[in-house]
Amino acid sequence: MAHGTKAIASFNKDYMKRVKKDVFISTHKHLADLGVDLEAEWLKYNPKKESEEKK
Amino acid sequence: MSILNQYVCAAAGGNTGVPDCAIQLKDLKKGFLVPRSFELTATDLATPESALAALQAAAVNDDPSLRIYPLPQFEEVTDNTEDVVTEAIGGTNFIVRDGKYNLLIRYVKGGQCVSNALRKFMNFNGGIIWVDSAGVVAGWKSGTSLKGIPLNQFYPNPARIATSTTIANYSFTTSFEAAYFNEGLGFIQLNPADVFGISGLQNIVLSLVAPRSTTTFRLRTTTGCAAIDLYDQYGADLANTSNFVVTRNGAVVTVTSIATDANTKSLLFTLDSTDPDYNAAGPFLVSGAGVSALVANDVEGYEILPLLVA
Repeated sequence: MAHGTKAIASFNKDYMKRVKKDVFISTHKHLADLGVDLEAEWLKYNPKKESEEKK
Repeated sequence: MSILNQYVCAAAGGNTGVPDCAIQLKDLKKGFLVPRSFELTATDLATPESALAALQAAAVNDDPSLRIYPLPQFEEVTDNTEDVVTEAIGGTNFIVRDGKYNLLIRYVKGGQCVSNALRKFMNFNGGIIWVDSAGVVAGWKSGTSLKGIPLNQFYPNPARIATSTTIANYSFTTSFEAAYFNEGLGFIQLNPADVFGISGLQNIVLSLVAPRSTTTFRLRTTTGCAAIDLYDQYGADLANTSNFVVTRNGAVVTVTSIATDANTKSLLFTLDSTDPDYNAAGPFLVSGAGVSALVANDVEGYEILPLLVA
């Protein structure tokens, strides 16, 4: 499959569900450098956690 | 009832009426090296579709020891079968035994790559299933199953160098007992194009782009023989955590993510440093999760070879 220069990333589902957002973002900065939106990726796996945190 | 002194004579003969339509194998065009345990069961043999599906599935089995290995298309088959062995007594040549089948098969497709792969089957202790030009798949009829004909020998000959008048010569020889291709012959008829279309897997070779940086490393993916970079064609499909397994001392280490890196045309792996099996010292063994995982991610016809990342 052809793709552009922005990275295409796949994440471990179990890991994503248990990792805290700030830890995830701080340990995956190298992916952000490749154009991956880390916050959006974390939210895909943790939509409820985010809304609970806002409360 | 006792079987003492009861010699079992061979059948005296058989009815020799000629059927309207009889199996006559045509020139052999393809074959599969199969493990001794491989069989197409009665269930597999219910329909041509189920038999074809069973062959296709076996060719991509995740377990290499259970996999069947399609041979390249045959260009020339030379019959070097041994003559019937006889002993002349009183002017009569009494039959001692059937000669053994010996076939020398030459192929062109795949060239040196396939030749080197087949050399790894030197003295292969399995069987072979043949396919003729009409799509007849022939093996050994064992009960209600079709199995591979046990090979006395499979010998992939060393490649012979091309000359000014000939192309390079790639070939292998097979040897097996006559009984399997006569009284023991089992066969099914499939669509020739379908069965010829079952091809072998190619290796994906992983190589480290740069030294590992604690939790991250980048791997390039190329084909095993021709060393064709797979990034442009399969990079996005290969960048999936379900394609790979990373271990350290045999224990699985969580891969948090795999991403494409267009700058280095590589896959960027990230390991979970909080995994109890992770140790910054490494080394980490990166393996494929299996052919079926690749197929599920649209990478068909490949198997990932392991790489130790120091």
